[in-house]
Amino acid sequence: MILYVINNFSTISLALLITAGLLGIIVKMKCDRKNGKSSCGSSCSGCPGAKTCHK
Amino acid sequence: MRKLIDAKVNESVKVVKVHGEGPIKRRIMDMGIVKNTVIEIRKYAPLMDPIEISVRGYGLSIRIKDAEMIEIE
Amino acid sequence: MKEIKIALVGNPNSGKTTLFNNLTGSNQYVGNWPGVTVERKEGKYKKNKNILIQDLPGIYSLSPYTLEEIITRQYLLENDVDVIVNIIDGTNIERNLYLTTQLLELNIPVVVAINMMDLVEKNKDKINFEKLSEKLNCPVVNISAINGNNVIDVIDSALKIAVNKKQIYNLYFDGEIEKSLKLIELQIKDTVESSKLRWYATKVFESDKNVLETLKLNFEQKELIESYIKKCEDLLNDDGESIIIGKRYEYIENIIKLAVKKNEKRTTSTSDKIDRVVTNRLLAFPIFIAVMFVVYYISITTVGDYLTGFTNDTLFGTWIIPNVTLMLEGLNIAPWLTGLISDGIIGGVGAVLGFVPQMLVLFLMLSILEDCGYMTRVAFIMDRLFRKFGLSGKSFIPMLIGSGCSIPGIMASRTIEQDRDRKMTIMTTSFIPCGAKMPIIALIGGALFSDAWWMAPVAYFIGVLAVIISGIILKKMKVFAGKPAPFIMELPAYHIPLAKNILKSTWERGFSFIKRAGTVILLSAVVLWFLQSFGIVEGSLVMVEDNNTSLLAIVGKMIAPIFAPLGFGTWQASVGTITGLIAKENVVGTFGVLYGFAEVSEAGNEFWNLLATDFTQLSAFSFMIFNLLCAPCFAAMGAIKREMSNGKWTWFAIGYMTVFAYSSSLVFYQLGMLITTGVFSIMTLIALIILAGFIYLLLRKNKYENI
Repeated sequence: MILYVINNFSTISLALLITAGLLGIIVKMKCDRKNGKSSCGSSCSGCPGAKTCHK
Repeated sequence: MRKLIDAKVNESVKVVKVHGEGPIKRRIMDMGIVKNTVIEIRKYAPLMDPIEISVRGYGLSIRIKDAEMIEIE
Repeated sequence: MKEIKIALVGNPNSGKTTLFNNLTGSNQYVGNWPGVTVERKEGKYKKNKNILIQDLPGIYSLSPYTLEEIITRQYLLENDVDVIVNIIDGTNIERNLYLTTQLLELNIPVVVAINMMDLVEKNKDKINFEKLSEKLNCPVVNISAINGNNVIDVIDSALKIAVNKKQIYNLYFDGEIEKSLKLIELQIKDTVESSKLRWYATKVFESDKNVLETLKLNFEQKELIESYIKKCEDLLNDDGESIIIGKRYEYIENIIKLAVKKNEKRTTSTSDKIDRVVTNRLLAFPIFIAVMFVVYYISITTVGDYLTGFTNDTLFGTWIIPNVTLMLEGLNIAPWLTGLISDGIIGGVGAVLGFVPQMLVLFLMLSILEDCGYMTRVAFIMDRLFRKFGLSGKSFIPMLIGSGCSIPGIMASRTIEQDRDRKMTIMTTSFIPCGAKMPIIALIGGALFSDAWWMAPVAYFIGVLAVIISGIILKKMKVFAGKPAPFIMELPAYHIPLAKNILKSTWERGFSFIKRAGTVILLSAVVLWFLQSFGIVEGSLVMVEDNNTSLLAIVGKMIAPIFAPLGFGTWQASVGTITGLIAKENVVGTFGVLYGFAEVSEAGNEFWNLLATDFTQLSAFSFMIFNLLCAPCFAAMGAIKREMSNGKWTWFAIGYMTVFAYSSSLVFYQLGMLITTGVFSIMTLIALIILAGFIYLLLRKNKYENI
């Protein structure tokens, strides 16, 4: 077991890093949605109606 | 009765009355076309409808059908 | 300090949005067609957080006929607004003051801010502010919102008058009208707030339906009021509404005579000169087509393509992918993780990011078009044509905006007053290829049509054609029967867009794509990579060499038969179409994962070559047609739902688009097959039947014609 971890140390740490990154993205997207910053189309953030449509 | 569309392009004419009713009439008047206003047809759109008129110093586009509601002197 | 509420009110195009941005420092887009501020926005004054600024829709009047006007007047009547800042376009002062006369009656303190003073001075017009202030009975401030001149003065004078909470209005009306208004006031004084009495009285005199409903007058009161109005109307030989409007303008004319000195010797303005060319009888349409052609040609084929080529081949192909792979190998990373990173994440995200330069160029040019005032001219020249298709010239503005992104396009349809025209515009706007569909066009064009210059213009043309055909089909349906919307639209003067605004809006739009590539696209690439790397072999889940045996392939193959008649019955194309619903550029991202974008490096665009083997030119084009026209991305569907505010209509819209896309692709592919191979199959027959159906729907008599 320990040998396996040592042999694949780089893979495991990189996998963990990527998992953390993906989770981070999901959390960020959830946050954005809550704050009304949807990931929609191109110019929603700049659109005059943005505040009303992303309540 | 002489209607706005009877006027020539670039001829200054005076409005007598806006006929019709409802939203369109109200909108026409809200935009400043009321009794005694001097207006002129600036040009016709490439397909002859709508027209651009000059009223109170600005340009306004209006369809022929709606312009028929405007009576002029 | 107590919170102070300031409401910004003004005509469309008076620079309200610019002033709002200036005061609050918030980031919003500034456009130049009437009605760009469709909904209200709120912000805090950047120098004092206790001052709340409400940006209300741009309106011409407080009539009860358009949504924006109703929103504004309800807000002003029902909220405890401390001060109204009425922003006025100094170059168009007469019509702008018309709204002012109505605002003054609300009995809320008003500050009049005269904007565009730089232009007024350029025209050599003179405005006497003291006189104006005296005549209107409210403070008048001159500003230049674009340069930010004097905008602080607006808030200072607003704060000064906010304390007394009262606006003394001047009487515009005299004689018989004033007498009638007083009599009406007597009748309604128990039902309305005393400070708003005059406002309600004039509205009653105008027979404003909304107000009459809310007042709930009894029969006798109604009779009495009607007799007062009748008397006045008979005397002046006009209806109540016309009398009031006429008097207001008369009053304004008198003020103008005293306070404004117009430069009589004004020569033909630059705006007129431009108009003489772009709305010229012979040149208008060629110019419009040329403009759109140039926009798409430059963004996809020339500048955009050069930048995209650099991003794809050099940035990703030569720099990022080989080095990352080398590094991962050096670190002794397991092959599956290397695959996930290089094929999944870099493949999916990179395929999309590669097209960002093209989108930026497109957005830049669209922003310039939106900002300079050309859009209203396009609406003006197109109105006649669009009316033939059951739409109004105003439908064109949402569509042009929609060529950047469908969502603001769909929302821009709010400016169309008539319900029927608005619904038809909402249903057809997303046919116009949006920025996110551009990668699909560019990918198909690059992989199968050796970067043909006509790809993008043709795709745009297909969108326009879909709009036209749909317009004709839909307007003959019973649900769309009714009168067309009026087309009374201001044609504002052209102006040179501010570089700051253009760059900001381009960047905002472009950045949201980059951000999306890092979030939604990345996540779906990871999920797709796993699904296409693992398969079930002998009853257990293992990593497969050939993704044709993967889990994703199994699912894809179940959907594929649906698309087989359209010519792209491969599982990859089916998966791409489905993932495209998340975001349209995801189609490209998906192909990047499935066909291995990462292998692009050595022999040029290998990913494109692999893709090309699964398609013929005919099926690829059919694939493009379907993906351009079918149901838009989820976010746009959400926008449709909000604007329709009705479940049935939403589903009707989305269903219509999908059926339309499917039929069009089917007809295109099957007839294309018939012509190229000469083989006649059952599918060909079905295609012919659908085509006949289309022709019938286009040509049948309009039973509900009502013009």
